[in-house]
Amino acid sequence: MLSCAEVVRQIASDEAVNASFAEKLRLRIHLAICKHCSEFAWQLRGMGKAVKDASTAVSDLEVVQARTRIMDGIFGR
Amino acid sequence: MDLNFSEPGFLERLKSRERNTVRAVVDAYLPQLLRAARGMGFSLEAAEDLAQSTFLGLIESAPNFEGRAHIRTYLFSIFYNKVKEHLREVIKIEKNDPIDEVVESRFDQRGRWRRPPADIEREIYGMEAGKSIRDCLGKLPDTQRIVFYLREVEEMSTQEICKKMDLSSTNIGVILFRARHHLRECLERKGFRKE
Repeated sequence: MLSCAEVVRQIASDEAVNASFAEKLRLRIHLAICKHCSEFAWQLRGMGKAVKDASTAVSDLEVVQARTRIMDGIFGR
Repeated sequence: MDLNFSEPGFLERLKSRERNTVRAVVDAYLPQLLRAARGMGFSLEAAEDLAQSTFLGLIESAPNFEGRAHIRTYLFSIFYNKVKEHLREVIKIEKNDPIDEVVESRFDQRGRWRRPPADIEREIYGMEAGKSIRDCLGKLPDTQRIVFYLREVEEMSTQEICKKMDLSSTNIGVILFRARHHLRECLERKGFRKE
């Protein structure tokens, strides 16, 4: 039986993604019966999604200003 | 102005720095480049510099492009190369990160939870959590933020990150492990708990 610490390590380091079929199965069984580890796994998945939503903020004004400076930079004003 | 990037003569005009052509490419891809650079934690100024040198790289290497890949793919490969150069300057994979001890303290000697993760309010992953998440992301070391961004936002596989950033998969594992634990602990400290 995998320990919780090991499950958490495999999930957080992405080792779980690249694991063999047998290893993935062991992980799944653990997650199915362990409330804390499955909460942890759920939180990491949600975090990834939340970061995606949160990190896309560049305003139109910032883009326009950057574009002017970049064009000037390329054409050496 | 609508430009067909695959039209013959486009690369010629790009190479000769025809203003409208350059402008069309900048218009089409600047927002994506800025978003990516900002997401990796670059300041607005640094993101702008990075975008500019990416466009210059494209113009200079236009003769080698030959329309094999989509221009976006090609542009982003130039961009990721610049990020890689930056990463090489800032990279720090410490033998120990304080987060390792925090993680360890959550388990007993047999690897069972001593302090399980606090239940996090599901709404945290909604809109108003954006600020807290950005705060927590801002505290990550540069290396962790860049790799975490490539993995979670760009959804690159570990193998892709290895290739693009010239890092070993072991190192990427360590970096992701720390980034995710730092973020989760940070959000938990901010008090996101289910009642």
